[in-house]
This record gives sequence, C-alpha cells and structure tokens, in this order.
Amino acid sequence: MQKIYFEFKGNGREYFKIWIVNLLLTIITLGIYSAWAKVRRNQYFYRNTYLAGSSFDYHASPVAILKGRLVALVLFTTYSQSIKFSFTLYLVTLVVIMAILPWLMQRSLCFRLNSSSYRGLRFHFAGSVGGAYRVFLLWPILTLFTLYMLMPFAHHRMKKYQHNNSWFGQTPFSFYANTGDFYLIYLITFTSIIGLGLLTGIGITVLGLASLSVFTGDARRVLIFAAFIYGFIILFALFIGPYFSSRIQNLIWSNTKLGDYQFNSHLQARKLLFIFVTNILGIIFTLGLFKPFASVRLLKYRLDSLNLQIEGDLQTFVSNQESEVSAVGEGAADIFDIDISL
Amino acid sequence: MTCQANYFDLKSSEAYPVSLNVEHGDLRIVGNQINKLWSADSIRISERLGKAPRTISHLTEGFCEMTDLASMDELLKALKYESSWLELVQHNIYSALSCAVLIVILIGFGYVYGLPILSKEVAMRLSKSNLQLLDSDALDSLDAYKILTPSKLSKERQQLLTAKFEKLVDVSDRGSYKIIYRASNAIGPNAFALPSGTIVILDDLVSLSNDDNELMGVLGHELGHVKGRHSARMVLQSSIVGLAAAWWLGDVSALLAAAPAVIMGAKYSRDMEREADDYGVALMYKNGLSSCYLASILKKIEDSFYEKKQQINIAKMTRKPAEKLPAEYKENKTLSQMNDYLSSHPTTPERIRALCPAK
Repeated sequence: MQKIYFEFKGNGREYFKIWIVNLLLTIITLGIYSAWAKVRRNQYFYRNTYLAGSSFDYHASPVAILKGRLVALVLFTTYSQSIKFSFTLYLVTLVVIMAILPWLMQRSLCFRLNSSSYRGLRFHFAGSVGGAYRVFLLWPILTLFTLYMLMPFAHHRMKKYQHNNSWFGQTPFSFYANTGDFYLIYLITFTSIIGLGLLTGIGITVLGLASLSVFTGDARRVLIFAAFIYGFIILFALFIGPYFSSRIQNLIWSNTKLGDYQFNSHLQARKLLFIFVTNILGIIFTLGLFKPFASVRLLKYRLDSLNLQIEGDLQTFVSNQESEVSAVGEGAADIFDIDISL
Repeated sequence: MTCQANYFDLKSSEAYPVSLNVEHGDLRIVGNQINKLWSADSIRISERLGKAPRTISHLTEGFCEMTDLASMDELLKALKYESSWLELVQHNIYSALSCAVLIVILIGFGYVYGLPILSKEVAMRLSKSNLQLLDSDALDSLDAYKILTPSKLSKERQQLLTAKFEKLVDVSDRGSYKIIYRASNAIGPNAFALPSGTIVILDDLVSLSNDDNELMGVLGHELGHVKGRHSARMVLQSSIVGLAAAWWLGDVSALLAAAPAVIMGAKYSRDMEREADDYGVALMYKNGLSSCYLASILKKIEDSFYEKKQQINIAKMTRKPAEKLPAEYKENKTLSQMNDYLSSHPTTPERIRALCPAK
C-alpha cells in the first residue's frame, strides 16, 4: 500500500505571462477571446498537474466554450432585466431557466470531463438527465421548503451524482460518503455562526461598558478588552469559510474511489485561511495584478493535499473505445457541447 | 538531437519510454518494440505554456509527452516548426510587461474617451420607458430616507412656476420633462434632473431667489441636462465602471468594486455643464430674458455653499460639539457622497462670467 501524490508544478510568474496576454486579448476583442483564454489557462493548469510522473491535459474547443458563455449571458440578461418589464415575464423567465438549467448542468459536466485527459485516456460523465433534474432542481427546491434542513442532503446527492457517474476510460469513480457526515460539517458551521452572533453581542455589551467607564477613567483597559474580543470575532468569522470548504473537500475526496484506488484529501483550514487572506491582500495592494499568483497558490495547495492510495504499481487503465471515437475527432463538437462553468 | 519522451497509444494508460529523432523532416519514434515514422504533416505540436510538458500528437496513433523542453526545442528546430507569435509573447517577460502597460493605456483611454462616447450613444438611443428604468428608484429612495421631504411651497406657487416655465419652452419639448417640488435639509439650495426628465427643484433654491426669472434660468439649465440626457449618461457611465470593476475585482468583494464607481462617476463633466448652460441661455434669449438671471442665481447658490462650508470650518476649528452644526453636516459619509452626486453645479466664476459678461 502506498500513496501517490498529486503535484502541481506551475508557478505564478509563468502563469502571470499567460494571464496578462489573455487579459489584453480579451479586452481588445471585447470579451470574445475569453473562451480561448480559458482553454490556455486550463491547459496550463492541467499540464502542470502531475500524478505518477505524467500530467493531465485539457482539450476543450474554445468555440464550444464561447457558445456556452453566450447562452449563459442570454439567460442571465433575460433573468435580470425581465423584472423591470413585468412580474409575469420575470416568473416565466425564472421557470424557463429553472427548467433548462439542470439539463445545461448535465451537458456542462459531460463537456468538462470529456475535455480532460490523463495519459491519453479521456474522462467522461455518464450521469442521466433525470438525475440532473433531481440533484439540480428537485432537491434544491425541497431545501427551500424545509428551511434549509435538507441542504446537507442536497449537497451530498449532488456530489454523489457527479462522482458516481464519472469515468476514467473504462474505470468508474465511486462515491460512498454518508449523508450524516455532511450534516455534521453543516451543523458545526451553523453553530459557529450562531456562536459568533453571541460573541458579537458580548462585544457590544463590553463596548457599552467602555463608554460608561469614560466617566470612571478606566476606559483604556476596557477598550483594549473590547478590541481583543472583536479581533477574536473577526478571526473566527474569517475561519468559518476555510473551515467549511476544507472539511467538505476532505470529506468528498476521502470518500471517492477510482476503481479500487482510494483518494485522500487532507486540507487544513488554517492553511487555507492563510492563503485566502494573503491572496486578498495581495490582490488589493497590486490592484489585481496578483490574481494569477493567487490562483496558482490556491490550486497548488488544493492539489498538493490530494493523493491516491495504490497497491504495487499504478495499474494500467483501459480506454473506453466508445467515447474515444468522439473525443479524438476534434472538429466534431456537438452543438450541445457547451460549458457554463459550474 | 535525440529527445526522450513517453509514448501513449490512446488505448491504455501505459506510458512507453521512447526516443524521438528527426529523419528527413519526419519524426522517428523508437522504443521497446515500438518503431514508428510520423510524417511532418500528420503531427500536431502542442503550444508552449511555461515549463509545462508538451505533446506531439499523431492524427490516429496517439501522442508523445515531453518534459525536457530544451531538447524538445532542438527537435522542433529540426522539424522546422515555427512558434506562433502568441507563444513567443506568452513566454517573454518583457512582452508580458508591455501587455500590462498596454492594458493600463487601453483602460485609461477607454475611461477618458471611450466611456463618455459609449454612454452618450447608448443614452441617446434609449426610449422613454428605458430612461424611466434608470431613475425609477432614485426619487423613491431619496423620499424614503427623508433626504427629500415634501415641499412647503403652496400648491398655487408651484403651479405658477411650472406654468411660467412651460410658456418659455418649445411646444414640442413640453412632454419631455416634469417639474416636481421638494424640500431638503441635506442638499441645500439646488435643483437636479433625473434621467427620465423629472426636474426636482428644492425649496431653499426658490427662497434664495428674489426674481422668478432666475428660477426660469435654473429650470432652463436643468432642461438642458434633460435634453442632453446628461443624467442618463452619468448613470450609464457609473454602471459601466461598476461592472468593469466588479469583473476585475470580482473575487475580492462586490463592496470594493462599488467604491471606484461611486468615486469616479460623481459629477457632471464641464462639457455637460456648459451644454446645459448653453441650452438655458438659448431658451432665455428666445424669450427675451437675460442670461444674467441664471448667473445671479448661480452666484447666490455658490455664496450660500461657501457660507455653510465656512460654518463647518469655524465649527471644526473651535471644536464645537457636533450638535451645534446643521444636521446635514454631521459626519455622514453616504449623505456627503449623495450631496456630491446631486450637486450638479460646481459653480465657478468662469461660468458666471460666461453667462453674464457685463457683471
């Protein structure tokens, strides 16, 4: 039994050059180039992601991505503008969008996995359209009607749908996390937010006391105490996001298998928090020029925390001949091959 | 120049170590039980992206993946492969920096020249109902937050002023505006126009003037803003800046992205003010009124503005408690920003001189 680690070998300086050229061309072409930019970016990221000495690759056609973006733009504009004309029109648009969104999501998942390869074998997605309607429409709506009590359940089903229907060549991925574990993470996050509310209340009380003690001359000590409490609250509030996303990613990947091989993810909330905070500061102080470095740092940490448990040597995976036919034919982009970036 | 690579056959994930050579312009691939010759026109070479591995793929037989980019470059030279200009640009730090400079210049030009032209073109094409969409909430929220309160002028006085102005205006323009009366502590003596053509005139301004012709001048000026769709253009400009900023800093926070829009899109441009003044002046002349009326009310607005400003400065210097200040000058960020946005008249002595040279 041994672990082989995913490894990201890209770096911010290299990606900066690609990113800035992408940005310039996107501006000059009024956004049209963004589809080509996305392909270049993903190619840079995929090809720098190594597992067992080989890297991944990305093969999407920019035209398909451009089509997907146009669809998304039309949907979004109709949705956001319709409310200004009439409420009926708004409702109609909303219903239409909700009715086609799960199907679009399913197409998008197919597209994304079909565009990805490792060692020359493509991934593919075999989730049914019906399944997409359950996880992207039915469960989220039921979540709304149960005061979000079903949210962890819906999240679990969505991930199950995605991971259980993914294939690498002829080898399936499988997902066996418990719904209960999702509930636990959601519960801890939720109680933390409540606790935070209580702490803020205490902070306000202390500040109230501080303003009273202006008259007793003991203000400075109380103010320092209040600042301490508020500092703690802010740190705690910042911590909740990274806590949630690290635990969820760990839960999802540590319960996913590729064939007989077990994935493992061990992200740490405090490291993620450090990356988030320094990234945001970097972006603010460089007026956005730090963005490519920020993306690389985050991706690097996420990937470096992921490994695959294997026995002996990495087995030889076999191609799924059926899907390979369409994958090789580059120009044969299906009209419904769109990518709306989940 | 031999180049080491891994060959993949697309049938399995097996990596076959091979060495690549160029033979009479074609690619020879040799490995354990592998011996292939790929003709130069049947292969595709992946673009260089930093130091990421690159591939040479054959139409049907699979591909070779190379991590040693230096020896691959030698191979490509022998294959007479020419890098695209994009690859060269993406790979060079100086061209990357030039791109950054070019982006800054483009954004600068876009903001200074492109944005006003774009928003003007769009504003002029908007229909009446579209214009209403641009301001429908503004008046309601100003009312709701009590920044504007009902006018204390009598109904008769309001109707008189409205009727008086209507007589001055071309018949064809009569439907294009609507005058409403409000009072405001926060804004002071002023008038402003909304994108739809609603002109709001404030009580303080009416009481500041001692000749209705002055108010006619102000209304003419505001109608100039309406006809030029200046307000719509400002709203469009700040929305475009806001959108661009949100796209740029999107991952940081929507709040941060909104800030530049508020700061940058706050006032009418000088050109817009001049255009509105010209319109007001033309309207006055056509009706046999002197444009000095507009000049004199502008002077009064400016004087009252400076008076208040001085009050604040004195208050600050003498450290008067805040309660003594007029309510509107308490340190209220949103209000003062609002004030900036609405103070459509950065009254300058030049403007007054231009309106009334004799004075």
